[in-house]
Amino acid sequence: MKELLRTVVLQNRGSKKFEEAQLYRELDQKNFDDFERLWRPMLEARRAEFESWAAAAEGDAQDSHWEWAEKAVDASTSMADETYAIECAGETQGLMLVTSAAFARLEAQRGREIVYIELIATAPWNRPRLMKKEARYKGVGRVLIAEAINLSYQLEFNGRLGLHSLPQSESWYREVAKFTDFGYDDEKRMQYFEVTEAQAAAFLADD
Amino acid sequence: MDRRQMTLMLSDKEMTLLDRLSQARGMSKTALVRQALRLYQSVTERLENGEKVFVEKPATKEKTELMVL
Amino acid sequence: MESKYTNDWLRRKIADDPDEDPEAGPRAIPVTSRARYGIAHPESFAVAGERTGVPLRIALGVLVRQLRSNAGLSIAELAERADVSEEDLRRVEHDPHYTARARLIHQLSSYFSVSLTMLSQMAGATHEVDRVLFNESVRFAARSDDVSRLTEEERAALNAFVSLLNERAKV
Repeated sequence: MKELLRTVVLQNRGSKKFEEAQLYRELDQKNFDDFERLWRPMLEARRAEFESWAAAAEGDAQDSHWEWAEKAVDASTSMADETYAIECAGETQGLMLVTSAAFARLEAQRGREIVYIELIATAPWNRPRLMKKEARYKGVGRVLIAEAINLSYQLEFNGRLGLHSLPQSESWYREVAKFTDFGYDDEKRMQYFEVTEAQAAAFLADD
Repeated sequence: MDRRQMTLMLSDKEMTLLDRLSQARGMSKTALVRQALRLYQSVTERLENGEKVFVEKPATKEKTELMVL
Repeated sequence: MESKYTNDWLRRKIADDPDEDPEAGPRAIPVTSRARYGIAHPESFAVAGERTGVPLRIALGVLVRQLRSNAGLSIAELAERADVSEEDLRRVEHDPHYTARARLIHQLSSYFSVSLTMLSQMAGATHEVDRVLFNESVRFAARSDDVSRLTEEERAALNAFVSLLNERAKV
């Protein structure tokens, strides 16, 4: 059952003002519909403009074939998976899928339970690289990562996380969040990051 | 979150194991049992889908099938 | 539920964050629910385009027609049971230039228990196309005759193709 977890804030990039947004656990038809009707056409349109797959990646328009409905339905029956949605101004602004059936690779916490973030996506209209004019909201990624840390604490994993980063997000994880860059994962063809308990606490700290 | 209660009867050995695991993994016994449940579902679901679960020795790449339903 | 972060924290941090929101997870890889990170080998995919679009949609049309026929249903009956429009169904079956909408594909996938990912690729809804799917689809469509009732042989070929699709989706 879709459940309102809390009210959060996102920054309106145009006005610079912060607007209230709703953070939900579990998705419902509205989120699937938003993905199909609002996200996908924009991604398809942009993708059609690029000549190659690599160019599409550069321009940030690749994820139109995620089958969110299937994934979310599976997540609702599997105890280890959780899905999240952020809604603002009546539209789905961000989506996340995580699993708790995952274990750390980092030597310092090898084998310990982690919340593994399978997917974080912000709506296409929120992405500066995709939008030729100004993108709409900022902050979806930070909210979702913070919420993944919440879940990690809730499960008594003390904030430990793992994720595979999109190329253009690597510097954020490395420099802004100061997570550990574990290196390139040959199998997934992406950079793998892990978050220690100390890093999770530092991420949430007030400074 | 709705909560329901269950009384769990464990042998001495099982209780010792639960204590040891929860200590080693830095989680309360309840949290550990919940995680065990999630993992159990995760593994058995894969088996039910016809997938196989293997354990691999990194040094030799030798694989053993973990469980068969 | 208790939170380790506050909205004040969000306000402060988001304002200072760089422009681009961080994201995670695979983008360029079709994911199915069964094989979570079904990492397909790069060589097994081709970029979809006009070259692949029409033959795949022809094969999709044949597949839907045969599945329907095998179930002993008319277009009207299938439309009703799968909760889709007759018009859309007719076009999927007969018009190789028609791009079926996501919902139609979803309903058919559900009704006939055929992989959604594979049907989406056949309908032209994805950027990349599995080469094996492409080759097998073309072969499947070429072998089929447009008759109202399936022969024993055709039924076997239909079942084999559907199994292939569902197996391939796990790769």
